[in-house]
Amino acid sequence: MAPLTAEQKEQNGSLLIILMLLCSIGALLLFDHGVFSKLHPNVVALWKLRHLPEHRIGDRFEGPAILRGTLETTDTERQTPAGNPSVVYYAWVEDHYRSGRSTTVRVICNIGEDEQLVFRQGTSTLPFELFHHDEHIALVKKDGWLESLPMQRVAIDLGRVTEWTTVPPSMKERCKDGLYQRGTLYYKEARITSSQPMVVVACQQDGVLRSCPPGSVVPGILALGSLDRVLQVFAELPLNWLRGPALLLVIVMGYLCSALLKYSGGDS
Amino acid sequence: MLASWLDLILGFVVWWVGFHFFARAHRRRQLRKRSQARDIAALLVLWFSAALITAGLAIVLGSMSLTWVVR
Repeated sequence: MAPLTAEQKEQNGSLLIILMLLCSIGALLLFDHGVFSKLHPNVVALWKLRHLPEHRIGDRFEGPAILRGTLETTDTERQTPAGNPSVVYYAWVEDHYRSGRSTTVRVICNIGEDEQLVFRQGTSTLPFELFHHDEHIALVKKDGWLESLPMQRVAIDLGRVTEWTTVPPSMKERCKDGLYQRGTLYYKEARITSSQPMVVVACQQDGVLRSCPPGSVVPGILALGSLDRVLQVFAELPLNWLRGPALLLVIVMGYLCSALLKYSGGDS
Repeated sequence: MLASWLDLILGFVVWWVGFHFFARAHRRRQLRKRSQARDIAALLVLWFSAALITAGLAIVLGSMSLTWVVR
């Protein structure tokens, strides 16, 4: 192959600079989107969420409020597929398999019971229907230190997720589509019992604790003990919108600035 | 806990890369000014590096403000 002429080298340099310039503009726009469309509204929403009023059963309120108490079920005694007693539980089976150099995780079956609930504060109770009307719910799984959740979901934090490498027989029976594994199967479950203290963010309608209508700071939260963990995963979302574009920005702009200085005569 | 240490490292790297190019471009502009030559490339680098410095600061400040809000 013939060596490049000086003119061709100059053309290649110009093309590289134009390409880097376009990438840099794209990365800058992405970063601006992260700051103005994600970070700012989320900071405001988290501030409002942090300062929601706390109410008790019997108080007259409609808008989103914080309530502390316990959850019970009017149903017969519930058990997770692993046989643990619970009021609310979610259980799922993950398939961890190698895909090229990385490990891919896919959820191949999930079940849960979260119906017929009652919220209790001392001797007072209130029907609890936080996720009964096709709300989008999201469980805090705590399986990654950059785990994030959008604030438009009903966030559920049931505390520690327990994990087994053998799938309980009752879970196998309930996974109708079968457990077609490609790697190692893990059974995981998150559950709460009736004695555990819960924190709820919800709205009150017709004497029932429900999810809040669109436009509220959050549709609802059910958390074990405190809201701290849920707030942290909410806060990770806008930060991830800054971290990704910033990394892209530093790579493409580093190349662009370096190429611009190099092809226009170096440091002198 | 939010990954604040990660944001500090990332913010510092972005800020340092921006500052490095800002210093280089500024020095070159000073040199070329003496010989009264125009230097559009250095001017562009100055602006881009200023954007990088701002991005680095935005990450650190964003992370700090969110950590403070959810503390």
